[in-house]
Amino acid sequence: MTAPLTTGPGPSRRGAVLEVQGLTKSFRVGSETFGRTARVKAVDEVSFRIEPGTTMGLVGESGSGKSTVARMITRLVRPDAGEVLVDGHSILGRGIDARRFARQVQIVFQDPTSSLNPRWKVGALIGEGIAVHRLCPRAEIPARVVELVHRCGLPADALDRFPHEFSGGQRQRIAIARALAVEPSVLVLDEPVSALDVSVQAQILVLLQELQAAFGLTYLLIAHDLAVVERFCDHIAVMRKGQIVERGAPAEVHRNPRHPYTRALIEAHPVPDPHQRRPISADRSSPAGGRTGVGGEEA
Amino acid sequence: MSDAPLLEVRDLSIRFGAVTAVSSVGFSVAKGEVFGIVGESGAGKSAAARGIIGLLPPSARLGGSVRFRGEELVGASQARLRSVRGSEIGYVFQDALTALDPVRTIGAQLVEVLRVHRKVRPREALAAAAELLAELQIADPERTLRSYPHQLSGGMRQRAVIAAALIADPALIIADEVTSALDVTVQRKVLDLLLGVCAARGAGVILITHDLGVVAQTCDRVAVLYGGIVAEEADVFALFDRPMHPYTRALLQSMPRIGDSAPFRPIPGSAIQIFGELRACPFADRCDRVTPACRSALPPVQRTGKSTHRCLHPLAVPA
Ligand SMILES: Nc1ncnc2c1ncn2[C@@H]1O[C@H](COP(=O)(O)OP(=O)(O)OP(=O)(O)O)[C@@H](O)[C@H]1O
Ligand SMILES: Nc1ncnc2c1ncn2[C@@H]1O[C@H](COP(=O)(O)OP(=O)(O)OP(=O)(O)O)[C@@H](O)[C@H]1O
Ligand SMILES: [Mg+2]
Ligand SMILES: [Mg+2]
Repeated sequence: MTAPLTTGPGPSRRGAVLEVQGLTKSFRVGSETFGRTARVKAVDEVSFRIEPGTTMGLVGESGSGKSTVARMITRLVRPDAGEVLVDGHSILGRGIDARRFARQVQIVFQDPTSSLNPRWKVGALIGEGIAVHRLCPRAEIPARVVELVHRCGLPADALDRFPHEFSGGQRQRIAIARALAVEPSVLVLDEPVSALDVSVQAQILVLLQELQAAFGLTYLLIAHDLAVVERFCDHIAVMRKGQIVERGAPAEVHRNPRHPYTRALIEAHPVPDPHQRRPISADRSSPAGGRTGVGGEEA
Repeated sequence: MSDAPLLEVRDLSIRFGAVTAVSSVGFSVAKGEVFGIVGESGAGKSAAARGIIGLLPPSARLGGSVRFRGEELVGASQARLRSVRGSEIGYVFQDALTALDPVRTIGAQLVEVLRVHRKVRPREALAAAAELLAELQIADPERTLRSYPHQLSGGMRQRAVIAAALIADPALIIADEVTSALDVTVQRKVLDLLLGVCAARGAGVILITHDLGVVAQTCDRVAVLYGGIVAEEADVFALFDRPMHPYTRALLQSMPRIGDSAPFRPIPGSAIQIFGELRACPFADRCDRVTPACRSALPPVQRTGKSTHRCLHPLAVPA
């Protein structure tokens, strides 16, 4: 499983600097027709820099804008303002240069089921990017795909099967192989293990660590499990309401959290020991029984 | 009658063609109890949950017995199952995120659930939905009700689906991996709400999760599934303090703990898929205590007190 993946022709695979400056995005929500629209500021002036071959963890409240940051970095969403630079080159424009550097940034989503086209076989899914970007002569694509499948710990017969025939963990391996196929130097991992069981989670994280060691990849890992982030990342940033509210080395942030939200995040971490059970919090807006009175009768 | 469990599952078996997803699974859930189901991917957790409420694809073969408030659900009519689902048993499925209708607002979808099961005016239903979303820690319930699924973050969508399961006040709630997309502060609140509903109204909860931290914090009893069987079932304290099955121990060891910088410890080997009838311990190939006897027959259910396990070489000798 640790067999080195020969790089083949194309740009050398090493980590790049990923830099994000003042990224800002707001969305309009609600229905135009009924005239009740509102704007939500999803991301508000977010800046950070990730050194080559290192990992930054992005944690934060649900809805705080983490995925929107990931989508802007991978050009799936257009920012209202701000820049995304790979090795100092902007990747947001339409020019050839921008597109060339944009290819170096690939994304792996939380839900491999909806990000893999169910009608394509695994071999075609992984090979697609290689063909689209003409990374090697057509005839060599199958060999590259076989190598990737092997590198990502998938069985050799995976190529001729469809995604739905695999477990969640295996589908995530397929998504990683697919992202790696286009020889990225930066991987944006948007909750890649949240949907997986602990053991498979550990397998995928080990795989990602091996790949990083082998290719010097730069990672942006979005996660909400601090135990994972702590062990996997060199730096972490904590987001809340569209802004980064705290950053630092994981151990430091854990030991000495400054922002109240970071503290809440650490305190709320479920301790895997039933003897250390926290009482049910009382600060809910209304008691659980209170919402039963909706004036309905049992059907 | 009042002592009868809310849900009693016996000898439940589920097959998809040649694949055996669940083999003679049995457990029961009492009123007001939070029952956890844990186990590796592919262990049969979701299949069992779907089997209980009759939501398996037509290709699946279901055997055994599921008694809900004394009523047999295996073989019940589709009409009866439909009315049980949603109003008496609320369920949130793992793939529920993709199950939200992309072209209707969250509000429309929640109101529909309530109006199908209870006679409520749309305005009241909408107010109830907003209140529930607020309880689930959604910062702006009105905005969320007017939003389409793609306009919400992963965690907001997950809570919208949870709201749909809770809104009709069911007696049993089946929650399959419902907090995996939530940050731990929100996760905590959502679990508190589930527990609160459970305590206030005596509803039962089946919580399917891969997060052992969540199990430790919330469950009363836990079943550990492996290869479609209940490898072990016990009180949550017994399970964490004295796991009996080697798989349970491996699972507990693979869990990352906060403040611990040891490397990740996956369980070696990969989960298996069972074809046909199970004739050996499904964990045999990955187990360090395996003997030839483990491969010659499926270990029988051993009962000690209120716990059960299926292992010929259990780790602890029960007190
Ligand atoms: N396409 C969209 N249209 C409208 N609003 C959107 C859209 N995408 C995101 N939003 C809003 O932007 C905010 C941030 O969403 P985002 O998905 O970035 O959050 P997140 O931090 O990834 O949350 P989670 O942890 O729940 O995945 C949310 O309020 C969400 O409703
Ligand atoms: N519709 C289906 N058709 C064929 N096989 C299926 C189907 N649904 C589930 N299976 C198989 O049944 C077994 C149990 O699957 P199930 O989804 O119940 O696992 P799980 O424990 O919920 O796993 P996870 O933690 O990944 O959700 C697996 O081997 C799976 O491949
Ligand atoms: Mg997200
Ligand atoms: Mg499942």
